[in-house]
Amino acid sequence: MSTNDFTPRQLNADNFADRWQQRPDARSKARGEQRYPTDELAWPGLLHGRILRSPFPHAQITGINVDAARELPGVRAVVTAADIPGDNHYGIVFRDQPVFCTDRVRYLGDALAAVAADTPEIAAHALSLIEVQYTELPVLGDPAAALADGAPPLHPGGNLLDSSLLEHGDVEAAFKACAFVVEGRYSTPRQMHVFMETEGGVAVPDNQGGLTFRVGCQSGHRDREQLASILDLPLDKVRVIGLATGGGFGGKDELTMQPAAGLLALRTGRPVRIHFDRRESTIAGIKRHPVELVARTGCDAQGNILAHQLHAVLDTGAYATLGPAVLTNLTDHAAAPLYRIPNVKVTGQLVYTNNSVAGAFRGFGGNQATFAVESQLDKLAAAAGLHPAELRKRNLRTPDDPGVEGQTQQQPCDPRLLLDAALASPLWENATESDHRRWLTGVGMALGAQGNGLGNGLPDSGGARLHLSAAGRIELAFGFIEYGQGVIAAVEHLACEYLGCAPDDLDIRLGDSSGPDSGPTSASRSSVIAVEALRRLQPQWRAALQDIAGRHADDLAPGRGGLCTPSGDLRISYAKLAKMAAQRPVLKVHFDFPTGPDATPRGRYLQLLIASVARVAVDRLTGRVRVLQLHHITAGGKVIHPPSYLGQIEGAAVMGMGMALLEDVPMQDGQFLLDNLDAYLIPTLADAPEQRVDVIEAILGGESYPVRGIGELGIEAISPALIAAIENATGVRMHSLPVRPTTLLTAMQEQHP
Amino acid sequence: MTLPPCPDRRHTQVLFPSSAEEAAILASRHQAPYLAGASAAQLGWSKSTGWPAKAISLHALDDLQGCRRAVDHWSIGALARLSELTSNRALCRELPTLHGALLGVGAPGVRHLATLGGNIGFAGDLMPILLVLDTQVDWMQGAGPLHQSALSDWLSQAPEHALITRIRIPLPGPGRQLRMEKLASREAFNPPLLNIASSWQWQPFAQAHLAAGGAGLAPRRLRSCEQAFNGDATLIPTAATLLPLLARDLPEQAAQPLLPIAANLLLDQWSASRL
Repeated sequence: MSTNDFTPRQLNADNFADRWQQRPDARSKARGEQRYPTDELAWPGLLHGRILRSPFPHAQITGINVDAARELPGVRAVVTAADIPGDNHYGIVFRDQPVFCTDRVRYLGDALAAVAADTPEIAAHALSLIEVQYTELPVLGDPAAALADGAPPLHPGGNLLDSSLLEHGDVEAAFKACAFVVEGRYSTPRQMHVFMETEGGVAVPDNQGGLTFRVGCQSGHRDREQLASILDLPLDKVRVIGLATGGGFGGKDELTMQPAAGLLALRTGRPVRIHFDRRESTIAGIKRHPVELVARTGCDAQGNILAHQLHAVLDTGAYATLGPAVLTNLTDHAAAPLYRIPNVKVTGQLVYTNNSVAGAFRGFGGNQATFAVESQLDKLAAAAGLHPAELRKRNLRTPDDPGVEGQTQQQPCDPRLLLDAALASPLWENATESDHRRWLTGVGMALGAQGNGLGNGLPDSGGARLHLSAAGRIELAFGFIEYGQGVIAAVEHLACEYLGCAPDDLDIRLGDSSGPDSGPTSASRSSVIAVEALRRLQPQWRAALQDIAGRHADDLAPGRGGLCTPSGDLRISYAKLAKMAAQRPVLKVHFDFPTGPDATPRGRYLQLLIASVARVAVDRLTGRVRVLQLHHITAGGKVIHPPSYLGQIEGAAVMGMGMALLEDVPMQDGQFLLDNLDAYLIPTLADAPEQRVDVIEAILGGESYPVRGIGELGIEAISPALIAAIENATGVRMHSLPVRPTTLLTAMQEQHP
Repeated sequence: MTLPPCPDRRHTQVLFPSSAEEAAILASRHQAPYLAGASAAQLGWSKSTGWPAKAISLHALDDLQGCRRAVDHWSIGALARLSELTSNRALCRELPTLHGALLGVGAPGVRHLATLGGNIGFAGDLMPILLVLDTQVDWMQGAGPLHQSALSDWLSQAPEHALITRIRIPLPGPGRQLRMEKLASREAFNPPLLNIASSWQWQPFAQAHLAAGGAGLAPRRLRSCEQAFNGDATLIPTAATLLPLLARDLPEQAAQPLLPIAANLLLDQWSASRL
């Protein structure tokens, strides 16, 4: 591999013309023909479900009476916990969340009952007739209250759901040897996913005791297991079809409306649709963990970082969902994995409160930690009198260094390449222009690392099925869900590459739990699974088709339209092969996600890198921040489908901008201080800056895993890059996200009264 | 089918009066809200306040429509949609600052529904600019006569269930300069954090009309600040001189971070008007 392979190349239609093709679902989406869970309205006998949720963030339930609701004309079923045939609990890591509460509610989203009725309005009306008696309990409105002596335990194990410790060396001794030490307290917001399509779908009885769920979700197979347990059905009686979904970002990883809809469908024998409105989605939906971080970092007089210590407290809300896994990933990122630091101590606490449930969200705790770590490096560089890039350069790990826990990792390239490219960004030209009146401009940068897969030795497997249909179609099935991220485009391109076929030869089937289990559509893992599956299927497929073709087929290979000669001439079409076959091939593969050679996997083996450079303008009159330009340099393996890659990096960056500058769901005493998008503001198209993405496609010695998932990479370093740019413009460093205009202006005025 | 009380829209009986007079009588009699664009009303009702038992639809009332230029003012029907006003070229030409303010309300879809009367009824984004323009409001209440009030008076104590029929915006005199700025968190579809408008006249004597509104800030004229400017064209204001005046005009914002921003924006508008 030559040095040139590691030269960043701008990702645009000119440079990637050979791969710059339309997504397979582009036409149907543009024409409004794509069907989403929202469109599941045409089922005969469809009923509309609604879920009754708690009006109190913490209360004892002393009685519940659904009689009046059941008697309302048009109501077909009212269900409570008493109607659940199986386990009344769910949760990806711990099943600690009740489908319907029985004795206690722990947050405003807690469900108590559900109704199926002829119309949504009747269902809503019926909810108002359900009488629940409560005795209010003290509200644990933040982790400090939840961890205080005497705080009522929200769960049998207490309010500390999980804790983490990552330590090597002796930080206390090392800090004493430091010439410069900086400290910082950071906070990050409770961000909402704000998918365009809220949580919803339909549960359809099959009249044989089984159910099919046609929903927006991220893991059909895992949802099937949980639903079968709740509904006390055999696995083969539950089918989950993850429809093309209007956005996920982690917010549909956990069950949402499925248990209530399934129970109502079983009870009525009719299809039941539940779709959250934006208010219900806000209150009951998963959020990004708000995190308080306290960090201390020190270096010697030459700028060699000797010690780094960080403590993080995560408000996980009322239930666990994926909180423990988020804590693990945050801990890994908080240990400054890009830098070679001999003494590190990171501790974390994941705390139950009576707030909104927090769980999976693009970045998965990593970006909150990276915000603190990269900010610490900027502060340390300032203290040591070094350029922030110089401090980084002196401390960056090399690809041969082990990870922060001593584990083996596969870095895509030397991170110095990204740092150098970021420093060469055109955004630095005239970095701090000012019109001497209102707007101050500044440029900042940050580095980030992100891993693929569930990591830390968690069960993480994937699979696929490849089949030649009777009509001669190549049916390729994965369990992934297409929720806008473009996995369908990636699968199509990879299938054509590995199987030699044309897009028109393919029928891609995604997201059906009756098909292969590819694992959850999360952790940026789908592309890796797809490549690995196709790499394994490729020789089997070729052999199977040659076997059908019989004699003289040895020199033929799968190609566009069928078996082809080495020069590409079609010899036997797939349709003809299907007719010729005594038994048409059905090939299945199942394997573990790559976790590297270590006996005990820690962290994530397959790594990606990003450098983000941000140029902002700050209004000196109001403290308003405008993001003018973003420039990202990524090392994320081969670009399969350039428009999707670009969309992922740019989209994640805008989502990160939202976290840094706009978004938060404030809560007080367990109450939501907003519940709709009229007050929860996300960046609009008008806020999206000009962006440039340069990619390093080559992987160091890593031909075995040439493709990495890049769904989370773009959000990793945005917050610290923006904060550095704001500091460059104003001289003020902000520690709390989002940066509100009023807060920034106040800080600016304090600095320059 | 008789349904028990329930907070959903099916339980709202919509009444369709044939005249403004009838609408005002019905609203008073039933203590009912009016429905025009209902872009803000529906949002409020779908939240915690619940749906009203009765609502008065204004859609058929042609005499509440229209936007026309009179000799010395613009006369705009309360039911004029904001998008209708943004596409009115003459209005745009004569009151470009108002045009800019109109374009800053909500998103195009909202502006297609929302009405000028509704924006006043809900004390919306347009209030500061309308206040500094000395806007007048025509209104009626119950079976009473047609009244005309200054918008500032209307906002300080809106008569209950009164129906706004027309909005009259005087034409700014020669030399009068209008400024308006909305501080918001993003570039579009933006609920304002702070909205500052001003109208400046320097000849033959200094006269300033200043107004503010915003999130949790009832729109109002900034009388204390105005007094400092009025009659003194030589005054060179600073943030230090404006802040105590603003604290008097916006007492709920005293010691809050919005106050310095308000001062900065006022200074900027004053400065621009002097160029």
